[in-house]
Amino acid sequence: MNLEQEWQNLGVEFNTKASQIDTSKLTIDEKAHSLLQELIFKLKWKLRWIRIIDLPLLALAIFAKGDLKILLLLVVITYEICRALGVRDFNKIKTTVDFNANTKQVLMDNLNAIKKILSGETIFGYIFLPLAGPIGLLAYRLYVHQSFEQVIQRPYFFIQMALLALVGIPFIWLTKRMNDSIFKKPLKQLSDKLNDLMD
Amino acid sequence: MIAKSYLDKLEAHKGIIYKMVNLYADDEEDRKDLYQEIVFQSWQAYPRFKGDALFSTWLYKLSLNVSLSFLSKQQKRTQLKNREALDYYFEPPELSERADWLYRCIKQLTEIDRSIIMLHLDGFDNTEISEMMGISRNHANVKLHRIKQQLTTLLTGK
Repeated sequence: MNLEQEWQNLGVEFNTKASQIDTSKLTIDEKAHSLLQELIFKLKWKLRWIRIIDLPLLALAIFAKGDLKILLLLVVITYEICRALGVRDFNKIKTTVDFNANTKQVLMDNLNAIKKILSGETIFGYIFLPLAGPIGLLAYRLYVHQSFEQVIQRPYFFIQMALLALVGIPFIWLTKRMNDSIFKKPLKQLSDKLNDLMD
Repeated sequence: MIAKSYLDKLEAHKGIIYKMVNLYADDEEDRKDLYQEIVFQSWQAYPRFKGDALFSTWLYKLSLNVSLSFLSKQQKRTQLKNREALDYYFEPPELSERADWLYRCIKQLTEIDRSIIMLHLDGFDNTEISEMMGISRNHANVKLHRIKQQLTTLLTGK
């Protein structure tokens, strides 16, 4: 079998049949479907959500009194600092893939961008998830007892805080599992292609 | 104006995309998604097309890279702001039995091997293939030799 000839025949067949398609309906699709685009879209929304959560906390801080006000303001400031760091890190990531580059570069750019976004999300998870429970408890106690001094004198307060921080660990595990179920396979596919290319 | 110029060129070379889509996507939904992704990415990249290579070569390379980084059934559609989303009719052309057989054999190769043999069969020399793929010329030679042997075995059923 003459491979080249067969391929030429196939090319002719494709071009002939492609030209029979109704091109009046051919338009530019303005959607991106790639995994990377989806990740970027979601990450941008996560960063927006930090701001969305921050605003009601700030409003509460304005109307709160005493130590609760201090706590809420500290939380808002911490969230905003983390958000700013997140945005800074996100801007450092090369999120656009130049499809005009060579295949090796395209695969590596895709792989690196996805990995960096995921590792950034993981770090944020490690920070926020164990803190959420203790902050919630502290805010509630401050609302009831007004001052830090009284709150920390409550029986078992530090044990409760530690236990609530530990509750965050299963959530870290859960989010990691969720990310794995979504991204492990496509990351492996990209990595396998890269290995295949270099093999 | 630029859209018209792009669509004219795309129209003249859409056979390349159909060929690529059929080689890299298994079902109709994936073919449709991949086709749209190639059209989208080439439209995005078109302003950077300087014309120092043929449009067909440029589109070929871009389609190949999009296809290789396309992850079937994993992606969700992401709407871009300020752009109108337009759907269009898509139906992959039916091939003759002989062409279909050749296609099915090539599809049994790995995705990277598919791209290399396709570039070779479409007349790109080994230097061009190595540049497009980002590997050394020697490496491209070795791979091509191996792929040809594998494909011949598949086609002859030995």
